Amino acid sequence: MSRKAPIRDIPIDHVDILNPRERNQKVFQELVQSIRLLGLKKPITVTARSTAAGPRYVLVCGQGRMEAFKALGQTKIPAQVIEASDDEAFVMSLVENIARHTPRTLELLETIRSLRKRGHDVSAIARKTGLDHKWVGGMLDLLEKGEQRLVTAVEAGRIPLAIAAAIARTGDNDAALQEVMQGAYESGTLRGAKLLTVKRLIEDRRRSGKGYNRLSAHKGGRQLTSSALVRAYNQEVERQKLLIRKADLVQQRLAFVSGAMGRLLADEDFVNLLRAEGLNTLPATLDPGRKGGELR
Amino acid sequence: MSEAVQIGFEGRATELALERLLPTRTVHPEFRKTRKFAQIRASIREVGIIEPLIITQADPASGLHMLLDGHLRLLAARDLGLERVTCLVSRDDEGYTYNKRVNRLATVQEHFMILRALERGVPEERLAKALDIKIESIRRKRDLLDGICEEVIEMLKDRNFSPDVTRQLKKMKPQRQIECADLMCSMNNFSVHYASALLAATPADQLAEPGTQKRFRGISTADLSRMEQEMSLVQSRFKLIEQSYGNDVLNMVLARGYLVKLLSNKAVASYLQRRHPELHQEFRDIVNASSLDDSGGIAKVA
Repeated sequence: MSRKAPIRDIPIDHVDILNPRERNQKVFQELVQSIRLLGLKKPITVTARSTAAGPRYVLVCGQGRMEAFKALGQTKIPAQVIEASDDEAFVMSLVENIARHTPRTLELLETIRSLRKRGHDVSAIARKTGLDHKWVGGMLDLLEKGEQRLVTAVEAGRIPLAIAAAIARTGDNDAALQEVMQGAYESGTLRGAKLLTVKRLIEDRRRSGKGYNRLSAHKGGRQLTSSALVRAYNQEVERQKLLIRKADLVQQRLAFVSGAMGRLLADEDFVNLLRAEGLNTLPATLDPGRKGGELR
Repeated sequence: MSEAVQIGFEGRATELALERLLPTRTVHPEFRKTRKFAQIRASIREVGIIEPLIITQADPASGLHMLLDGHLRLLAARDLGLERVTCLVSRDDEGYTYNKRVNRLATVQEHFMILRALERGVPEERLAKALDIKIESIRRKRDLLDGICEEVIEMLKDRNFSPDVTRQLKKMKPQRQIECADLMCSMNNFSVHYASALLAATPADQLAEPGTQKRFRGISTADLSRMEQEMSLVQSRFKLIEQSYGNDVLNMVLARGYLVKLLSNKAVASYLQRRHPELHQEFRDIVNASSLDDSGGIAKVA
């Protein structure tokens, strides 16, 4: 049941989309860039119709590629032209969108490892895939160390590769991990929400290890029992309560440190000592009166 | 004039026997037992392989082509006893981009596509068969958003969840729907269980049909109302801290960094120890806590 259909260049404005799919702008921009850089990797699929005004085509799959081509100023696109009724075209386009597996990060990276195994070096892999060569090298490195959890987080864009590499280097040393966080913050690579993500990741890694079971996320029964309901409820409320507790703690601790610093800065000998030791540049939070910077 | 876009494949497809394709990645044996794989197999049985498999030029010695894209379809084709498949020769030998560009269809988008197909007269049996799901599932996907308010549709549009989630939400009034969807987004939990728990914790006057008695076998009315109260309390606290938490953690990182500097300076540390021993001890506890919000040191001050 396979088909061998001709591949032809067809005018983009002759193609009708029966069942349009709205897509995420960010993902679309990535597709445009990928096609601009690496070219079109596979033809779109259409079926031909003859109308009074000449030939038209009904799109079966490749809406994203077609719109990307248009965005790149192209008027024609290579298409595999198959025979199908409107009903069939509808079913096929649904199948192409639904009956497919979204590759997990580790499967994706296996394609990179496969290139490496076939003897391509890091820069050749970067050229072929459009990936940054530091990224390729770093990811291959993390994979070799068994840091699947970190690899997954980097691929999803949750943390920068450099931070992941630094975390992997610390092994399981907590003090070293704290230093990584501190350094990352000071160099400006980690700010705001990212910082929290990294913290959470480090906690997960400590609790459940470096590995990552890609199939485990899929389990979970369908039927709803009252005990499952209560469990779900308790879990979420607990998570929220924990977060509230943590937030309170951080707030108290912050208030304490800034109160303590206030008291210390009233001690003239202490201020002189800080100045002598070159420690008189305070973060703004600890020095509300002076908005940070150097002590007078 | 725009620059020409490079074309990454040969000008014509070829039909090849399955044995001539050499996989370049392994498929986890467990994957063959998943629903997804069953669905891919069923769809090939119903409508065939739609996009060609992508392969490299044949190796001159063995005559084999490396398979770059289509590993799951190849497996399914083998299961179905197909002998040949349509393939397209790539001008490169990487398989990354094909996989990277798979764009998962969000639940709300899937609903719109199915709805449109049905409206255009595609029989539901046909869809059910091609997607290997029951007709009832097709209907559930079709009715996904009936009774769901616009704001919630917008909040959920990029998410993936079961139709049973919106089945719970639509039993609530719009205001409560929004509240619950917001909560699901901030907890990043779109499970049916959580949605049901949220419904259970919804006061009767915020149900779409206030007259209907909520029934949850095995949970007493007293427990339900306790859940209701607790949840609304926790929720409002949670919303408050959600905004300040990130900022506080950030400031705490800075503060801690400064304390580390202070304590690692011998002169300053010994001055603190002599003149402000209680502060010195607290600073040390903060610096030594394993994480920023770990309840070492400060808890006793509070």
